[in-house]
Amino acid sequence: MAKRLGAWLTDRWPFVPVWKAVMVEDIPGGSSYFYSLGSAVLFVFIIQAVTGVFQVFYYVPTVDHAYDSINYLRTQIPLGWLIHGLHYWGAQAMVVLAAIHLSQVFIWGAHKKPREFTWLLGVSNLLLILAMSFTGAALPWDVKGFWATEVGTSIAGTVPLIGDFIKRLLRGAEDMGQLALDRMFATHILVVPLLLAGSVLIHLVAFRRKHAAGPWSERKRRTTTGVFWPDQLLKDVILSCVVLVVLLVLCAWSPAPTTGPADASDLSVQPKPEWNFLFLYQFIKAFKGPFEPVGTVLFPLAAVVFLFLVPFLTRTQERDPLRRPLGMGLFLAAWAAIVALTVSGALSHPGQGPSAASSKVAPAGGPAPKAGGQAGASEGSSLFQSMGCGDCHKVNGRGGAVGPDLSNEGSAGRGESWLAEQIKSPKSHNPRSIMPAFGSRLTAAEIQSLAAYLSELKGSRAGTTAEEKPAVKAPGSAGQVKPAAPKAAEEAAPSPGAPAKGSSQAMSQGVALFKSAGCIGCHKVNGPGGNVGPDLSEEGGKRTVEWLAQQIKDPKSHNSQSIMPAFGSKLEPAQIEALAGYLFSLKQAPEAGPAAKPSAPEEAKKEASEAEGAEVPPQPNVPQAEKTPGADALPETGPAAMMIGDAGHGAILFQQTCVRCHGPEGTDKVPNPGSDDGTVPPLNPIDPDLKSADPAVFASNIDLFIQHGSVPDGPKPALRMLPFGDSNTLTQQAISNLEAYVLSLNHVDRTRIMHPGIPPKIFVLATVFCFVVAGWILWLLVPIKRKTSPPPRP
Amino acid sequence: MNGEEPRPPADAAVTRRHVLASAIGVLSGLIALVLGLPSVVTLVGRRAPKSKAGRFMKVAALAALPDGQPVNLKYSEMVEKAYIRAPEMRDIWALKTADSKVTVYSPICPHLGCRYGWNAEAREFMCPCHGSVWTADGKVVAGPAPRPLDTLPTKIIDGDLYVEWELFEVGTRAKIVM
Repeated sequence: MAKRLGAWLTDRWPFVPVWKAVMVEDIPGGSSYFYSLGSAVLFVFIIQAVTGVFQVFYYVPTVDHAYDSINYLRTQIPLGWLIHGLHYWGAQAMVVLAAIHLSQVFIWGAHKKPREFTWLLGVSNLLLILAMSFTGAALPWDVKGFWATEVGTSIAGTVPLIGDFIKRLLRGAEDMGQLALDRMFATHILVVPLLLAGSVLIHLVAFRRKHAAGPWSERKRRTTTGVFWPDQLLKDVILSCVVLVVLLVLCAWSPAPTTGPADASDLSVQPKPEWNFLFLYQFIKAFKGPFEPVGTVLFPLAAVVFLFLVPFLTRTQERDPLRRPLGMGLFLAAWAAIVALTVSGALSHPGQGPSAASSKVAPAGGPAPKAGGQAGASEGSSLFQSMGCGDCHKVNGRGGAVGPDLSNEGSAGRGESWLAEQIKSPKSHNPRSIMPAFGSRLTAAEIQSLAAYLSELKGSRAGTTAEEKPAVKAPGSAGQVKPAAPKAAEEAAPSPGAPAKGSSQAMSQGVALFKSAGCIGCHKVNGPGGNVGPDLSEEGGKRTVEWLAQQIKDPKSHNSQSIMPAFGSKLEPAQIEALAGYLFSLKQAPEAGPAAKPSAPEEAKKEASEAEGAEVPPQPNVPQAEKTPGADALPETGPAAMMIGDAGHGAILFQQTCVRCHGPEGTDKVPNPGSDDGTVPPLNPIDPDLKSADPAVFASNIDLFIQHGSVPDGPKPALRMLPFGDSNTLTQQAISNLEAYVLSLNHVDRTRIMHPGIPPKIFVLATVFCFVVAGWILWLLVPIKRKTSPPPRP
Repeated sequence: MNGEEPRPPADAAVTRRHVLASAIGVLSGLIALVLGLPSVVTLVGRRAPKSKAGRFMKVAALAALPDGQPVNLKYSEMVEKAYIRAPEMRDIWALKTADSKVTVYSPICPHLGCRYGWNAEAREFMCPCHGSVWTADGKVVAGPAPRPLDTLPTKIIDGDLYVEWELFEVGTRAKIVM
């Protein structure tokens, strides 16, 4: 029956010729695992195709669901973690194996005539694999993929003349959004895979047409011959098994990282490309200003062209690597450069490059910056003042004490690039830094000027004053605070949030003090201001005037961990009262009353007691809509509750946003006078009622508080939880990261696989066991037969 | 493994080739299993957890419902499905009797899941797909419908009608909550 079916089929389709074309092939010099590398790439390509197709059954290519859909597959669908993990690690393996395969071909000299065309297709395949890697990274729409795509497409935009056109072609729009994701999706699942499949097929046909090159030794090629079927194919399959097992082990023991949902507005993110583009990322850093396209476009393009031309650059047929010193030298140098750049790219934090080495050495003992020594230094000096740097940093005896004294910063050997990076993104040097990132508020040139100015600060800390050295004019600081002069009051109205005109003298004084005492250096009021401390635009709606006055006088009395300087000794009581009165007048909506009419401290006190006495909202402040009597309506969690955030990034956000009230790592019992508990509820350990072993439930429980805020029970709680979600103070992505962090503090992993089907490690161990047993049995059989029966010549 | 060795007897060569071919077959089969099985398991997925009971939603004021006349009422409910939480429009058939009692029917035909309608002239519910017919009180009159119309849990609170949405298996004689 089987024979008849076989005959029927072979009569209708050329199975035998096709089988022969694919399988019957001499291997000069005998089969080798080195020759299996190409097959290993093909095998991983098949894994990618299979897992890719099955991911598409769940993946949704929209900016609002892409991230959640892929996490749903990973955490909620049995064995979904495996499909996703294999695809993630397969992508990495494909790049590695393709690069090794290409290197092997080069070392063996197998790219030379008559196999140039096979080489050309191989290089095309490598480029297409990199294109898959690039377009695939965008699809989860997570932090890493988003920024990789943002920067990658922007790099394409730096191509002279046609850059904008290419960028538009890649993104489908001006910015990174739905259209860009659509493009990446279509390119990743249709365009590039089809091109790659075609290119691989032509590559294989070309390979068969000119046959395997075999070893470089002429003698070995002549004296020994193996066959593709079954000798080489068995080696190919064995290597494929090894690759599969390695991928499985990676899936179980090192799952694909969760970098959190993409959030373009999150300034604390440090975008870095995937490891396989790190060498380019690091390389690009060497080219600045107008030369940037040299690094981003010209050099990579030249390298690709060079790679294509490799087989045509020499006419010699010599294949022995030891007799090709130039070619092998260049090859090794290229690999050394790629490895070195990748490693340094992995280790570097943006801008931290050759800082000390490149820093300009100023004449020793020069106490003040050289006038005009740096083009931007004087501009930097004025920026130092206007940006409020001096509110936190001392220079030559003047300035705040929040940050380190910078009087001698130029002698610290850090260099301008380090300083520029510190200004741009202080967390890149120290994740716990409380300094605000100025990367979004200053242009690159301004940052450079500031860095230039700081690198020239080599004055002695004692005995020099700003007055003596005009170039280091110290900015307004706490030490300079005086009762605000009328002129200052006019200048100081910091924002639209300032009370209406015609406010009392105390109010004007408060407004002026807010700027002159340096508050604005750390706090925002309706726009302008720093972000070291909380935004005070609506502060009046949250605190009493007494609480505010106390906070200005001695912040540690409310929170022992507060980093805010105490102004009790720097301001007079009347000034503190004026400042507190001003802050109390900052309320949100005009209809709320107090915000519309500026309230003097005495009036404010009255309003505060009235307002706070009246409200006893539930905890959390869940909106009342949709609640049905006698029924449990779904709690109104925000979108963040459904997102799987990144706990690592949440820790950074926690430090910026939550630590003041909840203490470091949520452990502190920060005093909250006026509340029944007397302290802010700790988050670590959290209230057991909120905790759940199911990360989604746990996240939902705390999401209610973060979204809507809450007011603690008690007569007059001084602190209340702000509605971070409702007020858009935090994005939903940021909230999801914070939730993941709070979960991690309570030993619950937000990324936990809820429905693994088979637990990852057990699945992998069972699979490895099957492979080992099968391999062992085959091993016992094959060598015995080998001794008695060597293969026939085909 | 290499051609330097003398050509072996044909039967030995065949045996060796068979062993190698079997090895290729066994290992390829294992690979196919390791990749194929999880793919199928992933595709089958997981049965969605049963929706939380007790979510009664306000649908209408009782006084606004006509006596003895089924009306189709629509309301929106926030629903969580897989990874999406979004409002979903529901519709139900409500029939108020003279004694102010209300029966609410799921709008889904218990035969194969179509949406049936009310024929006011015939005073019957009719399904457009396969012609099932029910009386106003939900009893099967004609057609392939295996059971009466499915009723939904209701509550009357302060003169308002509240309904709890449920889904039932279709095509079965018994009313089974999904």
